Amino acid sequence: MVIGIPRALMYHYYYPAWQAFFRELGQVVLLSPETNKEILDQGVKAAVDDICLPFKAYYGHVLSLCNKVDCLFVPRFISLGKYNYICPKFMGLPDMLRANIEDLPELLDPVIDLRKGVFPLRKLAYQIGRRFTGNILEIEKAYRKAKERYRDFLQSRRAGFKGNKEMVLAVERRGLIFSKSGSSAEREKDSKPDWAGDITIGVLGHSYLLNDAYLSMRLLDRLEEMGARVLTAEMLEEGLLEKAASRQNKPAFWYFNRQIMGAAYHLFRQVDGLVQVTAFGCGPDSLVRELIDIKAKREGLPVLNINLDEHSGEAGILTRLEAFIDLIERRRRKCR
Amino acid sequence: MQITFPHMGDMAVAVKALFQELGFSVVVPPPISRKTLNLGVKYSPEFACLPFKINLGNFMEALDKGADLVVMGGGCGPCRFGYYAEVQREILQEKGYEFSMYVIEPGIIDNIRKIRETFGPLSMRKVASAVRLAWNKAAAIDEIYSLVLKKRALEAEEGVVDKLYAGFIREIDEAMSLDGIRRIKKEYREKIEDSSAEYKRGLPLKVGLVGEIYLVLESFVNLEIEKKLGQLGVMVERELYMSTWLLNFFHLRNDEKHIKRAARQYLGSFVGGHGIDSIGNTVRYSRRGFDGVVQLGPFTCMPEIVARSILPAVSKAEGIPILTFFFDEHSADAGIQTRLEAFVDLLERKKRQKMRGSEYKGEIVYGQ
Repeated sequence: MVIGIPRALMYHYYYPAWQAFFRELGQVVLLSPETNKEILDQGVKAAVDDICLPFKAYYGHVLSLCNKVDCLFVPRFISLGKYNYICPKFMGLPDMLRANIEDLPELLDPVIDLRKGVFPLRKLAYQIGRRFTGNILEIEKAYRKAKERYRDFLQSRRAGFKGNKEMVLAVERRGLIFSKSGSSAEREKDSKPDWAGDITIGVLGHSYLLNDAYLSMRLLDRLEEMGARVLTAEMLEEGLLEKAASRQNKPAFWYFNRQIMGAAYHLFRQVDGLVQVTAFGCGPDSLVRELIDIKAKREGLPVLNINLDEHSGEAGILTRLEAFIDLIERRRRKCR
Repeated sequence: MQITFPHMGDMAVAVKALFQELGFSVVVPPPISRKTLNLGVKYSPEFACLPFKINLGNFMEALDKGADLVVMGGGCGPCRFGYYAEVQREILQEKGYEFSMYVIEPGIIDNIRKIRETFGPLSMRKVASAVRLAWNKAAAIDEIYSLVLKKRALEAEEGVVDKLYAGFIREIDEAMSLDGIRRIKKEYREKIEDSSAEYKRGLPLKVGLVGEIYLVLESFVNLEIEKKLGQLGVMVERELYMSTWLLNFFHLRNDEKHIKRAARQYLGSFVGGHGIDSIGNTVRYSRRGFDGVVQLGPFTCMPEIVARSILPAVSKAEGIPILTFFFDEHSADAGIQTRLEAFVDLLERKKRQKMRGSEYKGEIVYGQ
């Protein structure tokens, strides 16, 4: 069976685990191509106007897979932990696709709600796996493999492995993305360029925006090319994020925005500036961004807000990034 | 202590009664106006949804009038409303306002403790009588308003129903006893019934109103869409009322069951806010023989966007025309009026064709 996975949204968080799980169960995983103009245009046409950019891209990815696969893996994300939620659009995603796209292949849409129960994740894996095999041991094996792969993935993200090309390459090599011992330090040395300046910039945003080179217009790479060291929420331990987020009276209840919030509060004293990348029409971002702005202002930290939509121009973004870097350099010179 | 709270439709009447009966002084924010909107828009995040901005405007106007305790709803998502209070508090503090905020979060025990901290000790008997008064006012308002929604389409003289309703709100606001409320309700019910003549369009057109609760209830932000529909000769019905929402909230009534069942075919999960209600109620209206459905929501509203994405499929399968309006601070009267007129014309033509026996042919129109 060929299972299609759109290369958008939750792909950027969980693909290595999904891929390992399905492959272990003997299924073929087909990934849509990287986001490009055609995919986005298709998505913009198929989705309602009011939805945010990453979802429009998702629609495009689904369309590009439609007649190539037996089924599409579109999980219905509701919650990823006890006291949190995901943006409501994820909760309705499979239904939205069914309503908006004709000739949709069968959707594999397990409900991912990790608020209640014991071992909710394992149960979920069994529920999905039972479709492909009756052998519980096999599912258990696939589940463990997926979990292991996910841990490696998190580790490599933490070490500064970003983008989406690297992720796919690593997954496809079937090896560890990053081995757990020894060599990770070595890799780290290789993968990081020599810093021209010593500016550190915290970049805040959903992974599905930042790590999509087309949607974010290679924002992370560009910052590095300009000589800045880039830190994102994914490079920080989850515990740290949680702790920093709890400095807010009531931390955001959206899982990923809570992480972003934690990253911001954690990075306040460690970076020279923050870049907030949000999608036009993103609900949670609109409020959390404001809180981070207010707090950063109190700390005296420069913040650049970039709001992306399907009409964003590359030149405009580049200019603003350059100006921002210049500003930070000037500030630093002044301080000395 | 001067208590204030945000506006939402005619909710202020009931909330004011509640706090006054408890012996607190209340600063009701000035009625929502262009000024409220401008204030809110100026200090709110650009992409926050419209209710956030209006709430903030309300708070600022009330704080300027001397309020020092803001009472606001909370929650734990996934709709943005649950996070309003946190952001609004920070924004107002940043602006230099001095005030405290009481946020109603889920959880009975926490609330009892917090209420005691904020409001001091309250006698249970006093609380009970205040709640009873406020509840009766809210229920009376909703009962009469549901009548207004139908009778506007029948009024003998343009605007007479709205004039009656305004008088009713004034009197209810002043009523201090349950008997008084009952009397006023009866009196106005009769008056409104008496004011009706015949259908303005010559035939009864029925439209169901669905969408996000604030936009449905607050006529300033929805540009009086219910009144516009009424003036066009359309009877309007809606499931969302302050009182029914409260009943559901406290599990004294369970509409969710029916809504979920009706929506199941199209939407398999709750999506926060009133997203699933919009789908479920549309299905139910269509099965009850309504002529059309109008969906309202604030621009970028997450639950309503999900609903909006799915409604075309509902429209097609159930054969009911649907018109969606997303409002933001730039929404203008004329555009809404034109689209409503076109929509109502379409509904009328469809209905006449159906009455004549010929099947309605052509595409089902789904406006936006």
